[in-house]
Amino acid sequence: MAAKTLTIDGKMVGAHEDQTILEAARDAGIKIPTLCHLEGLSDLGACRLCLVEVKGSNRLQPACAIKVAEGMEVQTHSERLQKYRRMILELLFAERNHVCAVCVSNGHCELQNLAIELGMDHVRFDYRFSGFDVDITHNRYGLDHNRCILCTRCVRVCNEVEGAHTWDVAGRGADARVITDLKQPWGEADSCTACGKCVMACPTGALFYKGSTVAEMERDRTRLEFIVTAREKKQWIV
Amino acid sequence: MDESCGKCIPCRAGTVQMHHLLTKILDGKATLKDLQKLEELCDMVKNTSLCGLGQTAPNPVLSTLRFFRHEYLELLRPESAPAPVKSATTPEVSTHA
Amino acid sequence: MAQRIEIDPVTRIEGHAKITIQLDDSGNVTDAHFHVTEFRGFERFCEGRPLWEMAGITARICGICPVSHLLASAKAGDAILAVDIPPAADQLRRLMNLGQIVQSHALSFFHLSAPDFLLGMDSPPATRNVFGLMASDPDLARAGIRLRQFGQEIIECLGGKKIHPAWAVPGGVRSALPEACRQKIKSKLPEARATTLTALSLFKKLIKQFKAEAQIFGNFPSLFMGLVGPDGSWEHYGGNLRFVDSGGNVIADQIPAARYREYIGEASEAQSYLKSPYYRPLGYPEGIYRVGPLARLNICSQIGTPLADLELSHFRECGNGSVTSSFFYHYARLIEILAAVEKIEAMIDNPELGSEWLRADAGINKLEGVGVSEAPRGTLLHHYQVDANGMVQKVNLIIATGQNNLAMNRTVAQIARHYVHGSKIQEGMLNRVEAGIRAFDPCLSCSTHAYGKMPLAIALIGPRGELVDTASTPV
Ligand code: SF4
Ligand code: SF4
Ligand code: SF4
Ligand code: FES
Repeated sequence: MAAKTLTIDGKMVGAHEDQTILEAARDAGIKIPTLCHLEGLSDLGACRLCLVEVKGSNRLQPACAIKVAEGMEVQTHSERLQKYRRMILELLFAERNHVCAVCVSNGHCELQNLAIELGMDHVRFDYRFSGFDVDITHNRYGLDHNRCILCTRCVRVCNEVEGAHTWDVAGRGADARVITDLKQPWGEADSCTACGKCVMACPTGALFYKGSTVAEMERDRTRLEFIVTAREKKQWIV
Repeated sequence: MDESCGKCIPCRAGTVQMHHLLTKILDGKATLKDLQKLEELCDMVKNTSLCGLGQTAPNPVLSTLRFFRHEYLELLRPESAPAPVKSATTPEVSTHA
Repeated sequence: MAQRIEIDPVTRIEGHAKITIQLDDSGNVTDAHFHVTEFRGFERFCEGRPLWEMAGITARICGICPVSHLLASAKAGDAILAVDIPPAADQLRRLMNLGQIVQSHALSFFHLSAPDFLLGMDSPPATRNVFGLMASDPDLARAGIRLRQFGQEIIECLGGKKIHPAWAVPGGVRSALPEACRQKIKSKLPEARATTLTALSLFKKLIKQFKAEAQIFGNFPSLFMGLVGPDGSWEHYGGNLRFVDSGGNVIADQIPAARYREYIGEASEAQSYLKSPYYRPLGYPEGIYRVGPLARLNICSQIGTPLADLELSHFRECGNGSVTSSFFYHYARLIEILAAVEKIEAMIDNPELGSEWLRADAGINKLEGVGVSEAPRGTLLHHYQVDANGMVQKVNLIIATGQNNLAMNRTVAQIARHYVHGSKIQEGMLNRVEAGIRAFDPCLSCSTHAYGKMPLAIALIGPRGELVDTASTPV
């Protein structure tokens, strides 16, 4: 496996050729904000939070999806990038109904954490007040579209890790929604094995264990990591 | 914005907000601040969207802003806009690529 | 309705509690209305949310008594899950509610009302507040502040944060009382008890000076309602509803919360967004009843702790049957602090409080549930209807201030009769009306606005709906 050398934020970094910029940066202790990326799942570059500047390219590049290259010069936290990131978060908050104070994920939410981290302290765009349905027909889990950011982690984890492929995205643009099976209530989706992986993967309060009360929804990501490591590396590290 | 597939956020949610801000301007309810917001938003959507659709969606707005800025200004709420120069026709703007 | 339009200039003053007073042709007060803020939006807001979020959502209704909403909501949830919550959860919820009673009553008495008593109703508003009290009686003021902190600490120990702790859940509670907190609460109990006793003896000395106020501050017959235990003793969390009349006779007893509709009707008045509940068998508005500290002491047979029971016997002497003057809400509040402190003393060493058995796990087993708790200001009812998945379909809330609405109007009218002559609002009226309303400790944001000062705007309305006079407190 060939090694590559690149600079990230002025720091010389060594990486394997099949690593992404995001992985190389993480190994070097540089944290790039992400939302749609989840360790162990395929990447699709949808949330655009991980965009970085690569010298010589006039387009911004998603760090989660771009492989490292020899001599690459990467900027991860320029003024402009941070401004775009904040604005993306603002768009997400305005798009649906995020009332953190009464949300099951309050205090344990990746979207909320990012907003705090990036200093997005207010939303300048008008809220769209989505008022979508909440689906709690499943006997163990619930889905609140009003908090979904369409990162499709649930879609990917269910398909790639569990192999059930219960989730999909239906509709386009602002009408896009995650659906279970053929858009029937989750409780009637026969393909679901009730494994809970989608709930573990969801970054926000959109998917939750039924019965969770405000701020109670803490996700145990280590279990997901355990499954992924076991599957890919045949190592069962508890 | 009806053309956006909805996969990436800037295009999915950004075009909705662009449309909203443009409508607000056309309705005469916008302020100079909204105009600045619109410009920032267009810049962001253009530079961060995943595919060509989102990357070009703001172009009509950006070019009309460049060449017919005065028409936008005239439509702003009286208290926030500079004194109108002359009455103008409504600018034909679209959020579609 | 034409009258409402006339008072618009007054009602528009922001942050003021609004009062309109109706006069007849000869200039006598016929009616008074205390206008309070919209409440129903919240009920709609809850529809379409999962049952389990309700406790957290409704705790946001009121920044002043979130704990009470939390408990009523959790109890409505218990009913829908159809579970008996673990005994430890019951004890812990009680502990939190006692903490809430202490902190809220301490705020009402020491911060908001004591300045009126100790500095005089007509002392200048600039100093008639907790700071003025601090200057004239620093020990009392400081002890009062600490007493409130004591109550807040109990809530914080259990719920994690002072305001809006989403800690009680359908089926039980989320966490037990940490040992360190138990020690802390225990160590502060003696001071809490001492402060309460000092305030009580002070208040009793002052009662004589306020004979006139006691006569006119909402002194009228009405029913009283609240929770009582199975033996009729004072309750704040469990038990069933009881109604008592002004003669002290029990007219309805041991009514389970689930049957509240048979006894409580809800009238809407054009002048106010607040629903006015009434005792259904007597109709509206004859079925006027009061809730809160005064009511709880009027309806109970005993409190069940030695010092508070002793005080209760003195309290009873202030009335004939029931104590009917709203002025004695203050007295009742102090006795309730004492009761709460004694009850905390009695339970604080119970090992149950550290139990790990805190939450009953169950799905939806009933489509409807009513939860009731005693908020510091009075009985609070949460009534939910859900679908088979636990999605909330309909919500009805009956709040303490709503139930006291009719009584507050009557209190204002009674005070106005003494201070309105002809078409002029007399000196001293604003202060008296303010104090009269404050006796009920209504849970409106304006009632705790600033320390000791309730912004009020009063409009006198003539027989043909014309605005006769206005007065408002400077902001
Ligand atoms: S999902 Fe996250 S950001 Fe959205 S309301 Fe819940 S806590 Fe807030
Ligand atoms: S619980 Fe498992 S099988 Fe069901 S939708 Fe989620 S990931 Fe897929
Ligand atoms: S439900 Fe959660 S995991 Fe699925 S797309 Fe929405 S936010 Fe992402
Ligand atoms: S994490 Fe890279 S685009 Fe979402």
